[in-house]
This record gives sequence, structure tokens and C-alpha cells, in this order.
Amino acid sequence: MDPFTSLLMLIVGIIAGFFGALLGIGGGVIIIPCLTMFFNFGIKEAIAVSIVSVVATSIAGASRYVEQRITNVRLGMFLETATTAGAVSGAFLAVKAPSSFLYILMGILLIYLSVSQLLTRKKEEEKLRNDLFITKEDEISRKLGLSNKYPDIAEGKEVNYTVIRTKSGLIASYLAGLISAMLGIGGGIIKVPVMNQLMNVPMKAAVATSKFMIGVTASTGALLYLAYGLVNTEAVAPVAMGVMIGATAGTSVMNKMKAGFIKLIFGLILLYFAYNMIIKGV
Amino acid sequence: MQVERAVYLALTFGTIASFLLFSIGLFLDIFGVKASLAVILAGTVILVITPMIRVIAAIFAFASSREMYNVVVAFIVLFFMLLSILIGFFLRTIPSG
Repeated sequence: MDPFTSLLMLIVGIIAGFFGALLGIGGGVIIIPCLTMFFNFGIKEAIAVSIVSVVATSIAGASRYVEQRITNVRLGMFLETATTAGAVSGAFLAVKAPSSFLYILMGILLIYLSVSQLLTRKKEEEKLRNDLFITKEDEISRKLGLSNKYPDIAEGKEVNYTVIRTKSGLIASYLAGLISAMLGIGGGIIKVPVMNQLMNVPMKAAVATSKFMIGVTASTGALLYLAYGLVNTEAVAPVAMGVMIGATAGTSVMNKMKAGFIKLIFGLILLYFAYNMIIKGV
Repeated sequence: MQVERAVYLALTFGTIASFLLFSIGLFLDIFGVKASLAVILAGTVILVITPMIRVIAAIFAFASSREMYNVVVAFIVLFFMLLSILIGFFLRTIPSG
């Protein structure tokens, strides 16, 4: 591959990693449309490169949260039994499914994301409600010791919480893993609300645990694509490196940018990508 | 706690090693050295295997703190990751439809 193409791919990776860090996502929703639109990749090849890069963002971001003890390692491991099962099915389906189907599915996912970004940009701040996070555990939660606490710096105290609805959480995690591997994305968009709204996990702990899980889920999909021979090695190097650089940069400027503005720009970009994906599919 | 520490070390090592291999591979690629693809492939494999190593690290950590249910949980995760590799190779051997 010529150096110029490598450089362009590095830039795509940096942008994806940067936005990914700002928004707490893997960045696959940027990588896949860019590879298919600007570099003439087929969607399956783009998905395979993307999922490897997602592993990179997750590892880089996750280790920080684990160190700060915000991550619930036991809960993450428990839900990973379902996300990895989903990832195996998803990657298998992606290899077998017709490309047009994947383009359209990607388009629909992008529209959904775009709309949710545009709609939620006004009300960012109704998240931490500390008093409601302790309740009665279910049996699985108690046996595995899933309930936990984390140090919340903004609140200046340790937040205790009880994990509930473990079975529903497992089912939802299976679907998250399936979509992740099939479309080459991290799937944090699904995992965070599942933990936060369904399983009673505070937002910060949910984000950290989701980041932690994405690595294992994405690598399960990536392993299948790698063994199958779908991963384009020449493209992986610049994109994955770019993602690592962008993610590191993104985490350090996140607090200086206005969340509403980021969401507006991101939402509009996604809408444009969605349009392109659907055009390719039909 | 042991679990967090083991996991953290595995993640950090994998990230640094793969980033270095990617850089070397790209550098060689610019000068048209054939070995570049093998170096990048090695980086990719390390990157993708890293989460698996952290699952294995967790199995040991859970075992040492006698959390047997969690050992089983981590083994299930490891099983699906290995299954994924097997299915990938299997799909490779049959013609794509």
C-alpha cells in the first residue's frame, strides 16, 4: 500500500478514536463508512478491520478505568459469557450474510444513533441519582458477588450499588454481542443502557464496565474474522494506530468541549454516513 | 485487589506491544520491505489475543481468591473465544456461499 493511503487511513483512525473517546463508543460507526466510501472496501472487509480497531480502543480506554476501580470486573465477566456467545453467532452470520443486507442494517443503526445523538444533546445532566442504587439482589448477583461500589470523585464519596435483573441482562448482552460482531462495532451503545437502566448500575460504573467488556466481545468477533482470513493486515496497522492515538487525545480534551456541540456535529455526520450505506445496499 | 491488578497489567502490555509492532510494520511497508505484513500480522494477533490473556489472568485471580462461581464464568467466556477461532478456521476450509 502506498504511504499516502496509509496516512489517510491513520487520519480516519485518529478521527474515529477521538470521537469514540468523547462519546464513549468504539469508533466503528466512523471507520466502516469511511473505509467503504473513501477506500473502496467491501463492507465485510471494513467490518473486519473495524472490529480489530475496536479491540484497540477498548484496551487503551479500559485499563484506565480498571486502575481507578470504577469498573465492575465481576459483572463484566458475567455478562461477557453472553456477549461472546453473541459475537460468535454475529461473526458467523456476517461471513454468511449477503453484503447488501449488512449495508442496510448498518444504515439503520446509523440513523438510530444519529437521531438519538441529536435528541439527547439538550438534556445531558440528569444522570447521577445516588440514593436509588441499593436494593434487593437476585440469586445470581449474590452468588457471583456482582454488586459493587466505586469511588465517585465528583460526588466525593464511594457509591454503593446492587446489581439486579441478571437474567434479562444476559439476554440483552447476547444481542449486544451479536450486533457488535456482525457490524464490526463495539456495541457500548447497547451495553451501557442495559446495565444502567435494566440492571441498576450507576452510569459511570456502566460506562467503565462496558468499555472493559467491549475488548473481549470485539476480540471474539475479530478472532473469527482473523482465522477466516478476512482481516486486511495492511489496513489494520494505520487504522488501529490512529484509533489508539485519537482515543488518547480524545480523553484529555473531553472536558474542555461542549457536549451539545459534539453531539450535533456527530449526529449530522452519522446521518450522512447512513444515507451512503443505504444507497450502497439497495 | 488481585483481580484488578492482573487484568490491568495484561491490558497494558498488549497495547504497547501491538502499537510497537504496527509502527515497525508500517515503517517497513513504506520502504517496500516484504516482511512488513508478517510484522503487522503479529501485532494484530497480539492485539486480538490480549483480551483473552486478561480472561485467563482473571481465571487465576478468581481461583486464588476462591471465587469458584466466577472461575466457571470466566471459563465460559474463554470457551466462546476459542470457539470463535475454530469456527473461523472451519469457515475458511469450506467454500463461501
